[in-house]
Formats: sequence, structure tokens, C-alpha cells
Amino acid sequence: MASADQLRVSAIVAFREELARLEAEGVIALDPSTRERIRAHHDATLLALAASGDVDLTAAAARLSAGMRVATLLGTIALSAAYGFFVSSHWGALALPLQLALVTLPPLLLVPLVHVSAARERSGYVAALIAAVAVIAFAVNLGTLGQLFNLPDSRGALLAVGTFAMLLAYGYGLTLPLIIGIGGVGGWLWTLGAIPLGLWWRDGFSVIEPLLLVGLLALAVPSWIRGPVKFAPWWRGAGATALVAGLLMATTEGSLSVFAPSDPRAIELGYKLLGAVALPALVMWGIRRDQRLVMQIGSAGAVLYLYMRLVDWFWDLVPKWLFFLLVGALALVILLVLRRLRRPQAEAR
Amino acid sequence: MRWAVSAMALVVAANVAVLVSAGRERAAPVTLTTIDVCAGHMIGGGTSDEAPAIRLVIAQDSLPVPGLDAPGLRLLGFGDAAIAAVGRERDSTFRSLRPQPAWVRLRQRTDSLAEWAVVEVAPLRDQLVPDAASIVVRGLVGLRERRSGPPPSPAAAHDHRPGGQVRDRGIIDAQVVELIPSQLHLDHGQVAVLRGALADTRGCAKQQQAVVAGGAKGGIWVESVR
Repeated sequence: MASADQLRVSAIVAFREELARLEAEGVIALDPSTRERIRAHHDATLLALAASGDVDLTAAAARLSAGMRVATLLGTIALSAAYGFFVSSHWGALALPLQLALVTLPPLLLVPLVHVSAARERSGYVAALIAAVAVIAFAVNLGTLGQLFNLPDSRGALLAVGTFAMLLAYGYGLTLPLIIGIGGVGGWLWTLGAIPLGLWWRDGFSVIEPLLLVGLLALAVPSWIRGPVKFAPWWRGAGATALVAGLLMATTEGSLSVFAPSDPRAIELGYKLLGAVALPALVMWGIRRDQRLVMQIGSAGAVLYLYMRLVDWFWDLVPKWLFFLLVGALALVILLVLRRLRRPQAEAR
Repeated sequence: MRWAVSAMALVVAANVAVLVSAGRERAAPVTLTTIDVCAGHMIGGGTSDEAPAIRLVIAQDSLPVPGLDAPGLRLLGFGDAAIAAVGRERDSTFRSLRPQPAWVRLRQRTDSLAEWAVVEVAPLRDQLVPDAASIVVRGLVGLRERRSGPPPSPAAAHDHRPGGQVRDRGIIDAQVVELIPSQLHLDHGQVAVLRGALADTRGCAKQQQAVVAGGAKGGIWVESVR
């Protein structure tokens, strides 16, 4: 996702290209001093943004950045796998103090490395890679302690790992640890639903309502927690994904509800009605607030919801060819509706 | 720098909390139970990628919890509709419910397989009085279908005529569906002794003894091997 700085760079580059085009077509002719003032101002802005290390000034640089992101992810996976396999291959031959050192020290040593790399390499790719490996090392640390001492698994590990990831993400403006952090803290909150039901914490993942609440909470986080601007779309995207996934699951499997002991069919019907209202509302919210990711996830959810209902209502009633004809017709209707929605927006611009 | 320090403090705090709590329990075990260990019960160790441990294998015929009546199921958190289904043949209205956490007393059988049998379950650990002949661990109790009919013969499996297959009678039972933990960790000294003594044996052809300790707060660990 493009950061605010990157959007500014893109706007400046686009402005320069369009200005050159307008001048070439004879639409406008700026006097040299005005053009020079604008150019000097933009040059200074680009220099300042480039110094932050998080922007691509050219298309070639943008392509290289995409490669760096892929390399970051692959590096994280490879380094984590190397650590995991190293631990497991030597595990059986080590005494307890060495085993403890092998799992406790890596996260402790990697955190200062994150600090140093964030200061020295301003793009943040190396820091993000080391931070993600540190988070995984901490998760391995807690999991192994549980195994060494035969402890029951606990939702507390999700909270600890999620908080650790959030500290690194917010401390150094790193997106990859933020995603893990949202997963960890969100997962912990989701499992809290198991407490009033008297369930083991893991079975909290089979209850939908807490997931819906976590989704709403994640959507609201950017408005009340200050942090890097580039984090907001990730929070909202995670929130929208949780809401859409929760609603779609509840419409087909009423037994996933807190109210499962009552009639599951009635629960499914209730969630079908809720989905019919909530999913379009999510799309509209995304359009009005200009939050593209929320709108896209909401749209995908609404389309999936519609297709699932079509299967519910028509699959057994009509021949297969007619069913798919209906689906095709529905796709055309959706295209027409979206085109109508898009027209006023384009006119407003 | 304060973010880095906070993150490191979190790692230290989490590790210290686990180590101090486990250390306190292990300093004063409440029960010591001698168990038999076979090669078939052990996993990991040596060149294996798995951590060395003794698996707690529950005998299949022991999965239904003995003596767990309707009040007992209610205490564990099961609703009346679920309780009403126990002991009956499974029908289309039965829905698998989420299991409920419980404390489980296990006793090792003295037969040739040395598997574990479920003796009793309770919602609270204090309700299971510790003794030297059993171990108490956490577990999940669920209502599951137990097939009591004979296994389908190969001939029946290929018989596609209506009513051609042997129809299993599925009875709903309260069963221990998971033990937490499901295995007991062995340190490198313990695994070396056990692997040495049980070398070249398979299954439960030879048995070796180990002492399992129970802590005051529900902890459980292998204290020693003989």
C-alpha cells in the first residue's frame, strides 16, 4: 500500500508530466520565474521525502522496491526456517540451560539489531526483516518453554507475541511486524469469547461474535491510536476482513454463534439479514471515507454473500445452465450499479 | 530506544514468569507416580526433529468417561439438550458441540500395552484427590459418536446396493477428546537413559520405569527415569 509520502511524490511527478504536456499543446505558458519557483519547491520536497527513505522517485525505483518487499518476505521465511531447523536438530543433545539460552537469547539479541538497522538503513526493509524474525523467535521461545515444562497452551502467548510485534512496529514504523501484531492481539481478543462460555481458549476461535467485535475495533483503531499514516489501511483492512469473514461464516454455519444452543437455522437467518445490511454499509463507508481497501474487501464480501445466497435459493431448484445464466446476469447488474455509483464521483471530481 | 527496551523487557518478563512459576512447582512436588515407559510411547530424541517426550496414550476403549452422569456433565458446562443425547443412537438432529475443559485422572494399565485409562473427570482440580497410583492432567471432554458395530468388511464396502453396507450403530458418549499436555517432556539425560535401555525394542516389548511428579498448581513433569 502506498504511503502518504509516496502519494505526494506520485502527485508531484504527475503534475510535472501534465504541465509539460499542457505547455507542449499550447494550453498554458507559465512565466520562467513561476516555473522555476514551482520546480525549486518540488525539488526541495522530493529531496526531503527521499531523505525519509520510504519513497520511490522513479518508476524504476518503484519496481526495485517491489522486489525488495518480496526479498524481505522471503528472507524472513528463510531466516526463521533456518533458526527453527537449527534448534530442532540440536535440541535433543542439549542440557536445559543451553536449551533455554537457545530460545531466549535470539529475540533479545535481535531487538537491538532492529534498532541499529532502522537507524542505518532508512528504507526499513532490513529492519522489518529482522523485526519479523525477532517476533517469530519470541513465539518459538514461548512455545518451547511450554513444551519444556509441559505447560498447557495459553492465549497469553498470543497477547505477548502480538504486543512484542506492535512495540517493534510502532517504535520503528515497520509494516510486517504490524501485520503479525494485529494477528496476535486480534487473535487474543477473539479467544476472550471462550471465557463466558466456559470453553478452552482455543475453542474461542470457533465463536463468531467476538471476531465481529474485533473487526469493528480494528476499523476504529486508526482514529484513536496515533501512529504512522501508512498503518491505518492495514488496521482497516484487517478489520474489514474480520467482519466479512465472520459474517459469511455465520450465514452458513449457525452453530458458530454464541447463541448456538438455540435454533441454528434462526441464527443463520438473522446473520443473512445482518449481512444484507452490513456488507453494503461497509462498501458505502469505504467509498465515502475514500478508503479503497475497505471498499474492495467489502465489495468482495458482498459479491460472495450474493453468490452464496444464490446457491442457497436456486441450486436445487433450477437446472445448472440456468443457475450460471442467473449468476452471469447478476454480474452484469452489479457492473451497471457500480458504474452508476462511479459516475457522480467522477462528475464531482 | 525506549521501544526496543520495552520489547526486550517484555521478553525477559515473559520468560521470568514461566521459569519462576515452573521452578517453584518443581521444588516441591505433591505426588510422585511410577509409570512404565515403552519404546512405542516415546517420540523425538537423537537425530529426530521432534522434542523428546513420552506420549500419554489413552486406550481407545477407555475414552468414554466412566461414571459421568447428567449432573456431572452439567457441572462440566454441557446443556440439557446435549446431556439428553448421551447414551442414545446418533440421529440427524445431533450436532457436535464444543468440548468442555476438565481435569482428568489417568491410571496406567498393567497390560502389555501400558496405555492410560481415564478414571474420572472433574471441573476443578481440587475435586480430584491426588494419589500415587494415578496422574492428573487437564483435558477436554466432548460428546462424540462411538461406533459400536463391527467394522465393515471389504465385501460390504464394495456393495453399493441399498442397504448393502453394514450399518454402524453410533452411540453418543462423553469422551476425553484431548489431554493437555498430551506428552511429557524428557530432558537429554532422561532420553539417553530410556533410549539406551529400550534400544532395539518396538512397541511395548520391553518396559522401563519413570517417575512422574505432580505439582501443587497442576504442573506435571518427568522427575526421573530408572
